[in-house]
Amino acid sequence: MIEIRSRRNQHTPIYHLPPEIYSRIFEFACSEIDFGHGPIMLVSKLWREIALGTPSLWTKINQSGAFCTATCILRSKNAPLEIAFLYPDLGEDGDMSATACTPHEEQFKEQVVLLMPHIHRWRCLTLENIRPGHFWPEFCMAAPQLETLDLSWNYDSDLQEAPPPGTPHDLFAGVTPRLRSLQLEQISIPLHSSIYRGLVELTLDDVNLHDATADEFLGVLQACPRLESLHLANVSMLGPTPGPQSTVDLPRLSSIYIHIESCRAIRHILSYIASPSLKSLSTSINLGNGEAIHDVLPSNTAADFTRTMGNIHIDRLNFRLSAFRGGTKFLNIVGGNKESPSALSIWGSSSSLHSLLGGLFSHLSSTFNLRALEAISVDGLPDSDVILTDFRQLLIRCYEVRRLEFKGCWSSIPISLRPVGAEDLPCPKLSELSISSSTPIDGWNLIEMVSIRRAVFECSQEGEDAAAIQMLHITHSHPLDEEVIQLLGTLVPQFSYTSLSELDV
Amino acid sequence: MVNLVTSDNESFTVEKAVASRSVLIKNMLEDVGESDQPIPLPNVTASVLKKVLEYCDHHKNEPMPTSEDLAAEDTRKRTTDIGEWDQKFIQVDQEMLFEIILAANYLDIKPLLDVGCKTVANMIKGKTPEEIRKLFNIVNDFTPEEEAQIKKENEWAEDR
Repeated sequence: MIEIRSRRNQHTPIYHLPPEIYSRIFEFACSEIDFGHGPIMLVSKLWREIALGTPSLWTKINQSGAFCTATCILRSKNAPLEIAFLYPDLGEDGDMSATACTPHEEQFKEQVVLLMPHIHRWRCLTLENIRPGHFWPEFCMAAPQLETLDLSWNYDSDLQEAPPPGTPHDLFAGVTPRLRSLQLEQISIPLHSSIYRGLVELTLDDVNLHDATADEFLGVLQACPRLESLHLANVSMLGPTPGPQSTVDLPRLSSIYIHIESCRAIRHILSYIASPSLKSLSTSINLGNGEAIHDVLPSNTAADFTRTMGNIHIDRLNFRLSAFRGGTKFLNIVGGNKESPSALSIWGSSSSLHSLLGGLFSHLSSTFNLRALEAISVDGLPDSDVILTDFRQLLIRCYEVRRLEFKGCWSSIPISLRPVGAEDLPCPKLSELSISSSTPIDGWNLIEMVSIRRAVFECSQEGEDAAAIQMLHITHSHPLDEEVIQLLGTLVPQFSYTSLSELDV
Repeated sequence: MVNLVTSDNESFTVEKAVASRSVLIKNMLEDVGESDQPIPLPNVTASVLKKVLEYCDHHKNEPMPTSEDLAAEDTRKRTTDIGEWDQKFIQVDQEMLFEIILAANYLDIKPLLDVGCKTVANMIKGKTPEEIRKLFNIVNDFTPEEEAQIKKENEWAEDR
């Protein structure tokens, strides 16, 4: 009867497919986590036979136990293995300071004993919540095919997980020639480890690098010339040591996220990376006492960084700079996002920050290429002439800006938008200006600024290099003179004025 | 132009760029050189070749997968995503679907083979063994004892 059934199956259209095509179909079907090979194994004898003879179906090994691991090792033949032991944390009751194994660590050891003879075919290894003291001694042999290594530790504790003291060997005996992606969370591996060589992606999350310096970290980057992504979140390292440092050329680096406790370390790393392919730069800084925000930015005397970044148009760069002090965010600068790729948006939280912001805008304008930026919005920066003068230096570099929006800052902005002496006109192509202010704005200064810019426009050759203001919107808590409103109405084609007191009504 | 002759003796004259999407035909053309001789395709019928050529014509301007692409594919995570045009193209009955897969395999058109295999994989995904059998008209040829034994063996796999 069974034989008749098997023969009947030979007449179905799908039966005509050769085994290698079945294998390929099964590989696709089992490529997603939510569909294991269980159903395939139970369809028919032929399907089961083919599934058992397809090594790639058996390469994913997890914490399902020793039997599962042994079966997969056998069935996967010589195919590269993808190992993921994702253990949950033990909760508040778990005593992670104890040296004894947790039940998960016991289970891990049982399985890893079976896997060690096959370390030559490990391709991916993910370990979650196994302490280095328990995995480090196990990984003492070369892993020549390892491409991805992800070690994480999710306990909310001050205990920084580092290799056991006196460990005599480097992880994987220092032999991981194909390792391309390394992710460490709350697990610290010394920077001299060969694990950091030749990476394409490097992610360190909540990692204390102890006594390592920013120079040593640059040494790691130097050993990764094909690096594409660098993500450093809550990483502790020391600032640089005095002395010369050569530029680290990272021609493929497209994404940097950097949040290191030491501002000097951030500045040092950013100053010496040459990354002309950069598409995304995100910096998050926590200023200490006596530090100003420009302390973190690469100095404009760091010629290599300026040379490299100067070739990157900020409007093509997904740019974010977030600054904190005492855990509270006080500044956010965002540019080149998907919604408005040619816009820069600057937000400040209070009006008492001018000591922290000193020199920021001249730094930004001398470090980045702002030439193609088309819009800038500023919200909530301190009404300080020093900051405004600094900001004006940035506007002078913004030749293509058409739209400016100011909210809650600088009542004297109209004066800053006029030409001064031999200096270039700030934002010569500006055509849309929006000012919202709770402090008094001198209406006659506005009229003078609009008139002068119009005159510059009329003098420019065919108006290519300059524009007159076509749209002006003022939101103001102090009423403007009726005469000023009328004059602005005649000077600007689209002029609108809203009194904040009217809005309150 | 290239002249292709199917197993049912029908002739198709197509641009060289279209025919060369098949690595088999491309290699034959390179071996033979400039020639008016028709290329026999004894494993492909006219109705199937017509569909295959429709695919090749649509993709004729795309770069051919290199050996590096094929080698790198193994290290990447496989997905069963299929492009919009390919999805519409492959909406055929089961018999034709398997014929296209076989033809793509014979003619060595890797991207078309993958479209076919992904389509079948998507049909399988999320289904029970019984539903898969019904879908492809397969009869369960396990004895109840064998089936029970496999289920037991596979218990760990179910949790994966």
